[in-house]
Order: sequence, then C-alpha cells, then structure tokens
Amino acid sequence: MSTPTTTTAGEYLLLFRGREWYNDLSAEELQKALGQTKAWFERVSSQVKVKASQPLAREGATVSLKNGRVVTDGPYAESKEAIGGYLLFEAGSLEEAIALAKTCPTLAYDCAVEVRPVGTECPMSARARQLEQAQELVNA
Amino acid sequence: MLLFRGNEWQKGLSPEEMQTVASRWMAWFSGLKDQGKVTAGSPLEAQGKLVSGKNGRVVADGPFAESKEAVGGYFLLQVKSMDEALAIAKECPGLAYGAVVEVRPVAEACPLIAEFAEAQLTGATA
Repeated sequence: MSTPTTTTAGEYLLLFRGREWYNDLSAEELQKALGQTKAWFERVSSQVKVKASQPLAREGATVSLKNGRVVTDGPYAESKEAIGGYLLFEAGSLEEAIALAKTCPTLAYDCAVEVRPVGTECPMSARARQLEQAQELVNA
Repeated sequence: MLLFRGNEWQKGLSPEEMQTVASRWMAWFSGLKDQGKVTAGSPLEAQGKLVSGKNGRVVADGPFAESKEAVGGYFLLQVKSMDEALAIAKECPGLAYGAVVEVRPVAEACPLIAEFAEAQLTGATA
C-alpha cells in the first residue's frame, strides 16, 4: 500500500556510479565536462524538485561485524561501481526518473546512474507484518 | 553519508527479530535526529534500474534485493568529522545480523571543479 509502483509519484534517488573519470581528462576536456554537468544540474533543478544533491569524496570506510567484532575497512577502493554522488528528487514515476537519468552527461564518460525509488516504510517492518499475516492465515 | 549495503542479512530473521531490528533502527534514527546529527534518511525500494551507455541506452535491472552490495537505504549525517560518522555507523542495529555500513564524506567541492583547478595550476594539457 505504501510501496511505490512504477506509476507512483514520490521521491527517487539517483546514485552516480563510476571511476574518477575526470582524472584522465585534459584541461580543455575538463572545462567542457564541467560546463556540461553544471548545465545539467541547473536544468534538472528547474525541471524537478531536487531535495538534496551532493558529490561524495572518494575516501571512506565500510563498517561491519566480523567474528563478533566491529571492523572498519577502507579507504574505499576505486571501482566502476563506486558511488561518486547522489541526487534526491521528486518525480511522477520511475519512468520519469529513468528518463532524467538518461540525460546525465557523465554517462558519456563511462559512468552509470542507478535509479531507486525511496521507500516509505522500513522493509523489515513490512516483511515482518507480511509473515505474521501469512502465519495467522495458516493458524486460522 | 551512510549507505546501508546489502539486504541479504534480513532474510534469515524471524518476524519477531525483524520487528526488533526495525524498532531499534527507527529509535537509532530518531535519536540521531533529536541530536541534530542526521538530516535525512530513508530505505530504498528493492526495485530500480541501472542506466548506462551513451545517452543511457542501456537500462538494466538490479539486483537491488538479495545482494551483498546493493544499497538498501541511506542516512545523511551532519557531523564534525569522519570519526564521528564512523562512531555512529558502529551503532547500526543491523551490524549484529550482517549489515554493512559504508561511510562516505560529502565532498567539499565538486571533484570536477577541484580537478579542473588543479589542471589549471599545473598547466596540464592532453
């Protein structure tokens, strides 16, 4: 009931994935890329309601539990899947969000854009409720 | 930014465990909000698409669920240092069940701008 379908308006998150492609460019190419991305963000901001948008520094760490101890791995390795930034905005549907993602200029530099609908309910709560309801049906 | 990676770990939980972790998670988020340390946070739907290629001609499905790497949600933190962000990440109620939290600082400037500025300084050309 609260989970968006492809036709649902709501919040969407773009995750910009890719290597530090700008490291390989000349000054002229960089200037062109800068212009393109700046223009894109300005255009996007005028077309949709942008809630937040930031680049992420390449440093970082991952925190997890290993053998009963909390460990920190990092700094973050450079890879094609690395997330370089995000854009949180409102769209009328997943299709609309995808259409927007397709215009991102970094795609030409071998980056990818992940498009995800923002959830309105903790997936664990939803799943727990589903399982409990299923159990009640079994017990009835 | 905290990125919650992987959601496989949720699969093995009983409904009671799921509710417990979910409640703890929401309490964790509320607590951080009260302290002014988090400005936003949400789970992400398991559906979605990965757009790539020239003009985004390639549109692929996930997986965004049942994957160790998939981003299941995020928090936007407002803290003074990476150490503080790491300390908060270590409080994640999902860690005990196998969750992985990626901690990334928000860049001060667009890396493109920084790169361009550096290229100008060093007079780098193709």
